[in-house]
Amino acid sequence: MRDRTLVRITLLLLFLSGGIALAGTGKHSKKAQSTNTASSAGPKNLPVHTKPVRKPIDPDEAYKANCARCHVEPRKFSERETATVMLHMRVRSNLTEEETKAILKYLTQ
Amino acid sequence: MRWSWKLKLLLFCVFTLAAGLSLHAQEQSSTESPIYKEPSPIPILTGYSGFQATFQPGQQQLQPVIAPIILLPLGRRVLIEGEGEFEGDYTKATGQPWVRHWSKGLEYLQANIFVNRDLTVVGGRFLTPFGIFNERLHPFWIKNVFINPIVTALEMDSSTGGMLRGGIRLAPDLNINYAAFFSAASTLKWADATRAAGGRFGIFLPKERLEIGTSFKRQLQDEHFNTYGADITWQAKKVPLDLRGEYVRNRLQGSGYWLEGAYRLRQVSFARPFFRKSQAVVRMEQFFVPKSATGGEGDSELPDVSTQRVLFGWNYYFTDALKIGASYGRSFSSERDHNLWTIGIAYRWMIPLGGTK
Repeated sequence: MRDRTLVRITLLLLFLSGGIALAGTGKHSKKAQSTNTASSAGPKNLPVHTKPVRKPIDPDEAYKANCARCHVEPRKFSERETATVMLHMRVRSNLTEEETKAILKYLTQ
Repeated sequence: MRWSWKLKLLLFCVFTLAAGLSLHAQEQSSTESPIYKEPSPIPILTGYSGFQATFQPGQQQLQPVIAPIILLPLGRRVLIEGEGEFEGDYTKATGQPWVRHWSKGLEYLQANIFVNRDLTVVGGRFLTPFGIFNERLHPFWIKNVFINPIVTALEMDSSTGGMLRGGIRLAPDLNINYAAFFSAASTLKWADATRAAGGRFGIFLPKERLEIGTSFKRQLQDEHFNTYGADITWQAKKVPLDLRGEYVRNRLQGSGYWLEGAYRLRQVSFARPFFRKSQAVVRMEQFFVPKSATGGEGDSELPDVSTQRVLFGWNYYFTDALKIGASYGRSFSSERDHNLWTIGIAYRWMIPLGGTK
C-alpha cells in the first residue's frame, strides 16, 4: 500500500514538474522565435508581433504588493546582498520570476 | 524500509530532471536591459534574535530565541539555504521553582534550483508549505503578535524530501503560485519529520493586493489523515492596514481559524515621530477540539478544550530590523477564562560573507 502511494506520488511529481518545465520552456521558445522573426525581417520590413506584448510590471507596485505583504519595508542593502535576498524571497513567497527581477532592479538601481 | 530504493529513485528523477532543465533554462536566460546589469548574489549569514515574556494567572514564561540563517547562492540558478533555531523556555508556576529547557532544531536546509520561470525544485529539509504562517510569518521579527495563533500548531512543522513550487504570472493582474511536496519520515532528534504529502495553491491579485490560498496535507504514517487549510492576505491601499487569516481543519486534532488586522499609525496627526513607527494589532481566533482529540504537533501545543481568544497588540519599530511589542489577550474556554500578557523584542541581522561591491 505504501509502495503504491509512493509510486503514485513519484509519478505525480514527475508529471507535474515535466508539464510545468515544458510549459515554461515553451514560452521561452515562442518568445525567442518571435524575436528572431522580428530581427531577421531587416530594416525595410517592420517587426511582426505574433503575440501582443505583455504589460511590464510596475516595480514600485510589485515591491509594495509583495514585500510589505508580510513584513515592514527593509532598509537598503548592498546590490549583491539584495540579489541573494531576492533569491530567498522568490522561494519563500513564491514570487514570479518577473516580480523577482523587477523588485531587484527597483532596489538596486 | 522496503520503499527506500523508490525514495532514492524519486529524488534521483527529480534532480536529474531539474539539472537538465536548469541547463536548458540557462541557455535561454538573457539580460532584459542592455544598460542594467543584474548584480550577482553573494553568501549571507542572516537571522533573527528575540526575547519574549508571557504572563498568565499562575504562570510566567520567558523565551529567548536565536535563529541563524545561511544563504549560499551558486550562481543565479541555485540557492542553498538553512535555518537553525535555538529556543529557550523558562517557566515558573506559582509556588514552584523555575523549569528551564532549551530546544534546538533545524528548521530547513534545502537546495533550491530555479529550473525556469515557472518551476523551482527544492530538495532537503524545508518548512512544510501549508498555509501562510509557517513559511512566511513565523519569524520573530515578522509576526505581528509574539504569540502564535493556536491553530498554527496543526501546520507548523518541517518536511524532509522534495518539493516543486513556483509563481506564474498569468495576466498583468493575476498570479498563481503553487507548492507540492513529499516528505519521508525522519526520527532525527534535531530534524524530525513525518511521512506526508501535500501542498498549497494560491491566487494573487497584485493590483488589489489580495491573495487567497488553499492547502492540503496527508499524513502517510501511523494513522493516515488529511489536513485542509485556507488562507487570505489583503493589504488596503488607501490606509496602512493589513489583514491576514487562516483556517485549518483535520478530524483528529481539531479545527480553527485566526483573523488579524494590523494598522500602521502613520496617519495620526499628533506625536508623529512616535506614531509613525507604531502599529496596532487585533487578532481574533477560535479553536474547536473534536471529541476524539489526539493533541497537537510541531512548535505549539493545542488546548484540551475548545478555546476562543482575542488579542490586542502594539509594535514599535525602532528600525525595520528592530522592534519591541506588547500584547494583551483574553482567553475564553470551558476550563477557565484568563488574561494573557506578552512583551517582547525582535532583531533581524545580516552579515555578508563576500564582497558587497
